Amino acid sequence: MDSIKRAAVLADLTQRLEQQGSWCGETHIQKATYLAQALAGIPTGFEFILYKHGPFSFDLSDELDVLQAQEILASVPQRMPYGPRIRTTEVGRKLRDCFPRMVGELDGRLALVAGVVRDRGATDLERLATALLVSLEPAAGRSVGAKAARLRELNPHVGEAEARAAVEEIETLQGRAAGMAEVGA
Amino acid sequence: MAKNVHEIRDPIHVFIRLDSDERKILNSQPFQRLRYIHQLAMSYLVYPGATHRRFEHSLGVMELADRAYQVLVQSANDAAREQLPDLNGDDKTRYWRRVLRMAALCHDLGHLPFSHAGEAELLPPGWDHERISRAIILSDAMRPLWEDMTPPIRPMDVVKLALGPRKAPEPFSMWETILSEIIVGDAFGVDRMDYLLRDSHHAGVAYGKFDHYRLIDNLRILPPAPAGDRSQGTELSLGVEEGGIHSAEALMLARYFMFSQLYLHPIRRIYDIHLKDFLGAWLPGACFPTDVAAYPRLTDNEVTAAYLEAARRPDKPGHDPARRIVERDHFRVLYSSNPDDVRIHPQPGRAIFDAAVQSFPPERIRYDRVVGKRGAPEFPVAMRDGRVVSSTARSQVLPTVPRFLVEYVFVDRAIHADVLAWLDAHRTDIIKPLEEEPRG
Repeated sequence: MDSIKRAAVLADLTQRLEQQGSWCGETHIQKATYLAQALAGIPTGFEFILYKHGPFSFDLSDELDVLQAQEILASVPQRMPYGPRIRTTEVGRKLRDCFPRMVGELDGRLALVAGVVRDRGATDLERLATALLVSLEPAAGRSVGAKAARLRELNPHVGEAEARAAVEEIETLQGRAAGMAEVGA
Repeated sequence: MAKNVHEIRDPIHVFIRLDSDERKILNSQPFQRLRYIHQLAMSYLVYPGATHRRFEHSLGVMELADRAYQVLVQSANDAAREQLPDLNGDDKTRYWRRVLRMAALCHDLGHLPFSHAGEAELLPPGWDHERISRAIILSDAMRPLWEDMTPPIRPMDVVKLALGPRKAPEPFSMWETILSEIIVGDAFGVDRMDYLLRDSHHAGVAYGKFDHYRLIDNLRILPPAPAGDRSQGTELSLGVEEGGIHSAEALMLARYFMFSQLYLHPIRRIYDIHLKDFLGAWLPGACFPTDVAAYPRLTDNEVTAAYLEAARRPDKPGHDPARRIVERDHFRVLYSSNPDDVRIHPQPGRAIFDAAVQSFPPERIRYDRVVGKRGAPEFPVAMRDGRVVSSTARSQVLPTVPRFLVEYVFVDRAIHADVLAWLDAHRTDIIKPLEEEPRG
């Protein structure tokens, strides 16, 4: 996926979160993009590492800055104490509209991700995204319990029941994503 | 009795003090090499005073890192001490202070000749100066220095703090993340504080100055500000007390002005490109080595000698770019991007370059795109009433600091007038909205 198409995907994803009433700060876009890439198979090509609030991509963080410099996205300050929201601008909507075929192909996957992210806070998203990261580690066939234990090893403030629930939810979502048609680069 | 504290005069920080172990690092060959690496590459061709080197910058980063560390440790509250066990106990805080100072001292050891010029194109994929710094810190040449210290220092700790989680692949504890933020953090990294102050001093521009004394005194380890009603994270990071917010604003504005006026100066950029062209022709295989054993002989001095020779000798590889540097026959700016054009096309400079090379000799045209650091990164602010809030909510200035994204197209001055006339005739055909992709 080239940089302009990728920008169109991020503009679309951000707008979906906004339209669904989701909080949409950088943490939410980070986690939504991770889910889009690692769960829904959208080839955005960012490199994620385990960092603040679970999987995090410095490349994506830079890209969000570039998109704001290009006025495709805009950062909107909020009243105290909150951090800024990020929204898609008119320029961003026009860019997305240049790629109707691609956005159409990705519609189901983007909707899946936006639906998962929309009602969650940062801590909840951190848990879910880390569960996905654990499920993708090269240790196929591990049980839910083993994955939950690994999640708690990486993120000790997650409780046992929460960890299991996150792993189970990820397995369900992986099943839904697997039922969708493959995406070309 | 032998003296254990040594002072070095510095134009920015007046005195920089170091102990005997740190002086051993200072006297090591990898560190002494930094005397021969210009901090700002060839910026001295535009700003003649900007001839300072990575050597004194690295000392300055150590000095500021230490000041920040002392403030953060002394001001840490009970909640921070509970989450960060390394804050509790003199042995631990002493050890990490030493590691932090060493990491600050060593953070630039892997810089290539002329610093960043050509780093992206002239190293093998996956390599950058941080990875070379890491290899040097862990090298056989430096290992005995770490082992001989009292107590010994784990070189991997130095690597992690010097590079930060972005460049070091190892997992980081929250404490290590915070310590690395002191050096290379996006908001309050002292690497940036020192280079703004030092570059501004040597270049003779006032834009880079800000009240770093006040800012460092107000740094604190804080929880994140809420990002929405259900979004309170737990990871601690560097922030400021409310009293330091204006110093933080001044830092971000200093950064903006230094980038826009100095670091992204178009003539500075085209000299970097000519230098990169020369290095591509001069280096065996058009690539810098990654074996750290080669680095003692890879400084600005060797490269300068080579391009001076190549400029005089048409038979030498890289003669043309070398001659352009020496004779100041650099390419001229054809186009630099502006917000109006970017609103029409996300990459107007690229579009102009792609069109221009269809009509003019490609070797006489260069494209350059610079993505600067973010305008003003968000950070937590501790209010006088005890709340922790987002810097973007507390400050009216920080959300307005522009982001840097500049595209340049340069052309050989011999064809500049022709290409400019061509661009005037075709500008609106080139800078136009992207066309909709055909439906399948």
